[in-house]
Amino acid sequence: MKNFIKPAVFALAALAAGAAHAEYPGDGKISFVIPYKPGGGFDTIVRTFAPALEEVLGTTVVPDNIPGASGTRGGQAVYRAEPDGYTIGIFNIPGLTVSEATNRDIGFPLSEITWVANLGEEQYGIAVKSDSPIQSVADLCALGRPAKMSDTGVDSTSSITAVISFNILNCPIVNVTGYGGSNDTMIAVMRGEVDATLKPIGSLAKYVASGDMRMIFTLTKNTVLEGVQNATEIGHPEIAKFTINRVVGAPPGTPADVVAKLSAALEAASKSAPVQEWASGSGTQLTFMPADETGAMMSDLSSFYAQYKDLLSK
Amino acid sequence: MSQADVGKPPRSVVSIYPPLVILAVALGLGVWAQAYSDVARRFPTVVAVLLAALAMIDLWSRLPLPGQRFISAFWGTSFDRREMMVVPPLVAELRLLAWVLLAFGGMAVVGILPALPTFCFLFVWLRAGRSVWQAVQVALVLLVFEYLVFEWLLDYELYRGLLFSKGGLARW
Amino acid sequence: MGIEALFGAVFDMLTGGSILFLVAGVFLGLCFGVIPGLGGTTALALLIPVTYGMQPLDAMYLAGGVMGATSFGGSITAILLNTPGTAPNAATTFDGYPLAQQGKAGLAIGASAAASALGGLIGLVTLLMVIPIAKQVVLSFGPSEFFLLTVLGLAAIAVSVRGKLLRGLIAGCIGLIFAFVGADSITGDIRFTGGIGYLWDGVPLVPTLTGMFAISQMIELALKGGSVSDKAPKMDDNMKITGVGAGVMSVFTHWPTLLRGSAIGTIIGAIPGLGGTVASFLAYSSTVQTDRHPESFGKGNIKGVIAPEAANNAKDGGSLIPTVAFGIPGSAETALFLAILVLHGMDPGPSILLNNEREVYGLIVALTASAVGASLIGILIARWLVLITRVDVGVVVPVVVAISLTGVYVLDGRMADVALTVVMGVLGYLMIRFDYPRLTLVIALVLGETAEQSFHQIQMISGGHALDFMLARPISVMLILATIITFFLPIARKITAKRRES
Repeated sequence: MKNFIKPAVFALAALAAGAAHAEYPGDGKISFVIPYKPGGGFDTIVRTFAPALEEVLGTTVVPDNIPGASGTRGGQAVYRAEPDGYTIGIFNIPGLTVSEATNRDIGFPLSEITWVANLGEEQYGIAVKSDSPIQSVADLCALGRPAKMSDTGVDSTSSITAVISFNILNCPIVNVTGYGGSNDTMIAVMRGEVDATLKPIGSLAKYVASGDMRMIFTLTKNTVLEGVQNATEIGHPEIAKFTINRVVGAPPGTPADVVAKLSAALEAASKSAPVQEWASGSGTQLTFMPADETGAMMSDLSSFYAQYKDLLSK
Repeated sequence: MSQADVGKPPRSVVSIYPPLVILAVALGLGVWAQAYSDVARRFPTVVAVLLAALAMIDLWSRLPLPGQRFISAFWGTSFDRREMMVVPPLVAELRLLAWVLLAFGGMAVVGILPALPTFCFLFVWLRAGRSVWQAVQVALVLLVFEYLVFEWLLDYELYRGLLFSKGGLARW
Repeated sequence: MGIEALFGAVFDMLTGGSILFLVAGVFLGLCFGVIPGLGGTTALALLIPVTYGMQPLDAMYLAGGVMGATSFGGSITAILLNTPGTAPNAATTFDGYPLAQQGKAGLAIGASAAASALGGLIGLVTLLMVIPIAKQVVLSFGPSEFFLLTVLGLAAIAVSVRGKLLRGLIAGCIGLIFAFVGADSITGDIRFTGGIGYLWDGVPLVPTLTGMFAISQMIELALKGGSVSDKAPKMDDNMKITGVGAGVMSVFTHWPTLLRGSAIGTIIGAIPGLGGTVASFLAYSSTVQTDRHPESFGKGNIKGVIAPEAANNAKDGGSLIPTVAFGIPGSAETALFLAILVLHGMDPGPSILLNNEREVYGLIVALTASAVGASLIGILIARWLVLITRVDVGVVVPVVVAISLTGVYVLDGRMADVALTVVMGVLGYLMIRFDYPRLTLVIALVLGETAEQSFHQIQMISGGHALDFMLARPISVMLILATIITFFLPIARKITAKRRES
């Protein structure tokens, strides 16, 4: 659904839609499916990329929100669409990978989707309340009781990451789930009802900068923040593999030349000034990967999460 | 609500069937909930038991059993301030239900823009017994409103109906 | 710093063309508020793409205009047709609709307009005063308080359905069961969906409410025939609608009701996840409870309109408390406000007041202007609106059904929502028919998920000692006391009344 207001007052809006004309495979509008309601992270990145993509391809790009069933309904819509390059979608990875690994019905086989590009990637960190005595992961594991962590849903990506990585570290935790959103999980740490939370570094950074929280660990191979331990330092570099990705996919059987064009266009879009400006302002990490790399990453992730199948389905 | 038609509530309203249906629902849910894990079934089970208990009290208050008056006073089970004072015949109720289903069915099959004004036209003309001209007026006002606000002003695509949109039921 | 920023924001608004965006927002908000199924959240969601091409500040005026105006718009249909335009207006139907039936719709709309405007102002003034301690306010509400607030809300059901306690509780239990449908966020179990993928995300509120109120009410009206207000004067003196002025004045004479409603609205608004429906419902039930003549409610007591409407607009101010404290939303509307900032390449977070001062104060000023502006427009057009109650239901019914179904579709673009609305419409009609109160079902649906989640969270946090955990927190203890009083006061009253009789 394209939606904007037409009257003169909103003429400004029309400026954003000003498009050139060149030929992408043919005539038509690209529908860019967002499997969530307007306003979230996935919605924002698509809406930021859409005008830049329009500029590069010379075709109208319309963000289409298809929310429902934890993001699977939008994925199904992409899966069933014509493979003509005029329907693409953004996917929550590894959320869907994990659902599939734990035999949850997501309504379509993830492996059949034609992967076009990876737009963003974020890594995780662990933070505690700023005046907490806990200084490191070792402290967190030596409380004499299981450490309490806060999370949104049991099947959320961050919750799964917490469960698997603390299992690898052989450290018992109680993952208190049910918080409304990732912000609420961080507020829970500040209130002091839980000891720590594992969240994308970018989300934690805001509260670390304001002095409400303190980062004690990053799930990264190298040092991201001065004085904060990383995965290599504690001898478990494998837990740096946990990331959260914003991946673009197309219906099964999309021709290779179309995928190549789309991938190139998305790369150009991600380098364009407005997108770069938006990313630095909003603290979003853009990590572009072309089609082949994205496809490799997807199958890699599938086998990675498959080994934790038993742990996840309990 | 104004007149003195407060009289005795109709038989169907005070009958024992509503609490019996609720009791059945409560029991069914209580059993169904046992299929879930320990934590997930805790609240549903409690609510199912509570609902069953309340349905039993409801049943009791409608039967000529000892203590019925006390229960009625304590739990407030009287029917003297009903929202709906007139009770229509079943046929009228079913007919109206059919009208609502017609509106929904029309939306589903041919889409919002043709179906809903047609529904308004038919309802005003056939059900309300107004003249054809008045019915057309109402339908036109609705059509103009829906088109103007959603399709034109907000540039939003209203549902086109199963016949005219891709994806079928799967996109519902 | 607050004062200068505030004056700066007023100056910003008055200069340049920005005020046009505010006015557009107010009209759109009123329109979306009036239509059942559509609300402020839908309006903002539809506007997000539009704001992309705007200046951030203009986007704030548009958003503020919409947010401030929807709640009053929604009260209009609640009063005139017993059909709340937005979820939080549901409590207004209790006394607003009886007033309309008695031909006093003008009085109710006047009171609603004035209460909305003043409630909005009180909420925003409170917000400005609270800003320095906003962080502490937000941090003092945790799972324990969430759980107890939901219990308080459920106990308030007992007060609000006077004379129908048993069937009100039954409807509440059914609402709780609806709340359990879908994926459980604690265990991940998919409950009571019967294999229907649509129900994974639970039973959504807006289609339920629209079906329960708009559709079922229209079925009832059509079967009843005639027009809403049988007592209304005849059509030939149709322009003589009085009482709007008296309604406005009634808000001033009942100022304690106004203040209580606004206070409850601000507090509930500040707690993320509870929202306006709970705020206005609690404001209503506490007004009934503390009144000397509780039996006069539900039959057209003007205080029953003032309290929920004041709370409904005050909650907008309250819902900005978590936003200014931590950059987190206090309501669905503020979530979309933050989304607009992100879309403009800003990064709202705990430093939002430092980094986005202009936008935040712009929104506050826009909200204030909008709450007052929408009410003024409402008072001016009230006399024409009231005519709806005199139109033949044969014309009102199909139009309301058609527009409500469209509204529900627009919400998420899902026909499944429309289907659910029809199902709920039938269920709602059966509830009217067999005299089970509908609002308690809706309130329980809103509260159920939070109640269950927060209880299990307390269990996990406290290692199984939930009660000890709650008793150690002062606000929790206060809420426990409030719940006990709420639940037992009506029963105690009943017993003393009985004694006096005999």
